[in-house]
Amino acid sequence: MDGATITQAEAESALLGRASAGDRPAFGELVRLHQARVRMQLRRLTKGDIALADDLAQEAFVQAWRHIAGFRGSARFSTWLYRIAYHQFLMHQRSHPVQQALPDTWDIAASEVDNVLRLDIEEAVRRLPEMERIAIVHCFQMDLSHEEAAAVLGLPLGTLKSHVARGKARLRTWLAAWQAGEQI
Amino acid sequence: MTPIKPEIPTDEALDAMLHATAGPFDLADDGFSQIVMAQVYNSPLPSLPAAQALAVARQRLARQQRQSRWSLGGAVVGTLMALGLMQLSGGESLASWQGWGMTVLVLVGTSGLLAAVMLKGEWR
Repeated sequence: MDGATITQAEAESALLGRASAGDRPAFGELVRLHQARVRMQLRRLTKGDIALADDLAQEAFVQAWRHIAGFRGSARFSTWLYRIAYHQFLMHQRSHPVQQALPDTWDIAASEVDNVLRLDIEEAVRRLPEMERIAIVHCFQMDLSHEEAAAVLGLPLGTLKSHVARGKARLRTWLAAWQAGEQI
Repeated sequence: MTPIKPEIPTDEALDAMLHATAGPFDLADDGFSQIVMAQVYNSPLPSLPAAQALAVARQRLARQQRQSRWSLGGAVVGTLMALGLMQLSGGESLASWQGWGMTVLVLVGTSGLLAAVMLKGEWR
């Protein structure tokens, strides 16, 4: 049996072929395979709003179904799904402008650092300026390579790396201040 | 108590901290797929405009053909290199190809393949 075992990539490729031809059960399998990561991506993007994240994830999968015949296979299917999900998130943001993240110049006074960063590094990531947060979410919390994250976000690789570097520099400063607050 | 100078975490330490917040990627489905599929069953079948579908099919075919050519080329070059190595190491299995004959064949064959690949732009 081991010799006949097909890889996950081959199985996914077969499912993709069937789904592209209009096979809904095959697409259902793809949804089951990828739902956890897409929902987690959107939970991160929506800063933990589970209901909103799941609504956006549902819409993302429906959009994926509508456009699956156009999937060319030049990127991984998961990357393609993340891109659709990110697009759904952006559309929601545009139609529901909410409280914007703290400005780029946001600075924490040493006395506030303890309160702000007490929770953990996740809380610190949520407080980053939007593009830095989104870049770090995809590169670290979604475990994508820089190339994949750039493809998902539709950014040039260099721009993505700049966002990541700026975000990390900011986090490093905050964490240092946080440590100082704890140890004094 | 003397204040301790704050330590800025190293790049590696920060990367590790960030990676530690990844996931979880094993979220229970909890009916999510069913809700999605209910919407999918109410959606029309995926389709492409004819011209776009044709373009996609052509791209797929071209990709498959390119992969086949590379596979074949790899096999031929591999065989030639193996034969060349046998010749250089004094192999005696091919009695009819003595001396420099095999080496010349290997060089000509490999050069021809490389030239064909370059002319077709296959490296892109």
